[in-house]
Amino acid sequence: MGGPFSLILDGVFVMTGTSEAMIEAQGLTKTFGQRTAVDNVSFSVNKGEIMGFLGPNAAGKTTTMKMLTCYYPPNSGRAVVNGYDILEDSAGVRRSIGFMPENVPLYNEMTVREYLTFVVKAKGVPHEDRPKAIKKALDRCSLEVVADRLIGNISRGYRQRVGLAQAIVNDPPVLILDEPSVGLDPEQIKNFRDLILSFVGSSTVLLSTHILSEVSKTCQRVCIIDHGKILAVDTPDNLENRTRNGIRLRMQILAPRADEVFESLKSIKGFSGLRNTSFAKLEGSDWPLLTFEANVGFQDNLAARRDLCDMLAQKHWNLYGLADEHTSLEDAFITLVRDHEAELADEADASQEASAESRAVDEQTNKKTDADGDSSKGQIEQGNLTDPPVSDPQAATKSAGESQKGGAK
Amino acid sequence: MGAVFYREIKAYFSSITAWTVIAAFLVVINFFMMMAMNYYADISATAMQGGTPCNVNVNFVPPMVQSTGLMLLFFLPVLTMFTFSQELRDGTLDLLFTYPISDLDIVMGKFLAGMTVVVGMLALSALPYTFVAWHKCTIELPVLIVGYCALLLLAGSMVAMGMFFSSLTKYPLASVALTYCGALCLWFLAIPDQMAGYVTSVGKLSIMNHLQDMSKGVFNSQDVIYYAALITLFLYLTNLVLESRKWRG
Repeated sequence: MGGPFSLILDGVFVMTGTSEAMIEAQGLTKTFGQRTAVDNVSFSVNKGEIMGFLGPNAAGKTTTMKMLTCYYPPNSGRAVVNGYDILEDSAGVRRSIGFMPENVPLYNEMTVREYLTFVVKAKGVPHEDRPKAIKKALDRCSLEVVADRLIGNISRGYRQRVGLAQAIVNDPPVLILDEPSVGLDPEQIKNFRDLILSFVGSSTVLLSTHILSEVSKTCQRVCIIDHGKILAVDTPDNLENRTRNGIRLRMQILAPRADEVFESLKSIKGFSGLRNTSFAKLEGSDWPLLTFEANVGFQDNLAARRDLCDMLAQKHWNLYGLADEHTSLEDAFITLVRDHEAELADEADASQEASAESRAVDEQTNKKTDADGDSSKGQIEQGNLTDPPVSDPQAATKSAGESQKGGAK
Repeated sequence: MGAVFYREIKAYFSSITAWTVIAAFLVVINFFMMMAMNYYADISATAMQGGTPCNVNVNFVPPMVQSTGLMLLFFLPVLTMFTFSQELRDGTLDLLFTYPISDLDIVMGKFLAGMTVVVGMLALSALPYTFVAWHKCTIELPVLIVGYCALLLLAGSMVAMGMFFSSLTKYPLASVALTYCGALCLWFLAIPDQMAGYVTSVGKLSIMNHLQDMSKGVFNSQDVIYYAALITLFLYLTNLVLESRKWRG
């Protein structure tokens, strides 16, 4: 199996490592009727590595995982897990993996211990090793306290851990976790993350999520997927740098009204993605402390800062703080996904245009001008990646930001 | 297979449904038994006064076995309705598919667990015969055994059919309704016989007709083959439904 495995993504040559690959997918494609859920997906996960599968909802994460766990076969392409081919030796693959599905389906009428007893039997753990395996899984997932309670009666956090316990109970070399931290509170997410981190080196983990903070904290490498296509595979740091084309500026301003400040900031050339992130009362100040964030490209950086100072001086507002926010994985993710969606939209436009052209010669000229207008607009958006695109980016940024905050609490 | 069997047995006996079905079945069977005893007491009284002679092995056991068979037709769909529907609804089946067990293991494990419950049910329903025997009525054991073998085969067909319909839908009520339809269809295939007055080729497919001979203690290989074929067919179809996830989509 081992050896170097490389793939080419959007013209970027990515070495995925020279150590032994535990999961190796090549050209996986799965279609449901007309819809292509996973489109020519290739990636590999090395031994002892934690790989994050990151994508918006319905990006094809679960479908890919279901193919890797031999739930259903791909329409084309192949994958090898722990040296077993998913098409030729499905039993071998299933012996090598521990899978935790989305929403953790469990048998509510069994106690945790009974359930794990069932799992070790189903997974073919030798009879004499079973009690030890169950005890170890209960210990690792801190489930001893609820071991004899019915699964239907335990809390969400414990259910999630039971889901993980059933995956690890036979010590599989590969763990595949689908959205493992959905529905957990921040404290539980942190505990869960520590638990997953304890597998580094011993097990290979592939986990999917749409929570970005989780990925940057747990995964050594991230695979960003959208509309069934892989957009990038890299370390979280590299991804952040790759898409970095400007600065996220955080401004704390003391001023009487937030909307006035917002309007004034909006008029500053080079600011984009402006948003008011907080509003706080400050001891000893008549004015509230307003925090704003905006993206500014490298080329506009100096001019924008100068304009900002001029504006504040002119309005007699106080600048309380000014800081560069670190561009996060969140931005990388949003940029990549947004670009991909814009591309898809362009393709759709182009095909529409083509069909319109064939329809009537008269309409052709009109269409052409429209299309020209569209494409030039598209270029501007492409040039400034952080600019608001066709869809509502502010809402997207906001919700992603909130989820990240929720996760980091 | 052992793991699935273990879990199913646990599920049956931790659910109120299985207990309710067994209890209701026993109440109904014992009620029938009482009626049959009364009826037999009547005809044996007339026999003693010089009427047609009667025998428990002809006038009591066969009608009882047949009524028990008919009741299985009505009670077993409720017992089997959850086998796959519940797992489909909870998504637990998806997880089961990723364990190193084959689809056939899952089907057979569930079938055998269902049959274990049925064996228990039938064994309890056979208890009143000891009461009859205690009253100096000599029930010939072979008649009862052959009759109960036929009941077991009939129950197997019903369990397999119930599992099949349960694998089609995640709604237990839909699965029980479908199973009733299936059972009634198989039963009503005997209607042409009633009209014609003899066993027609359609009637030969009726599920209750195949109980006739064996309930009288006559071992009939045709009946055994019929039930075995039904069981195999429905288990095969269930397996096919489970496998369909691989090529559907």
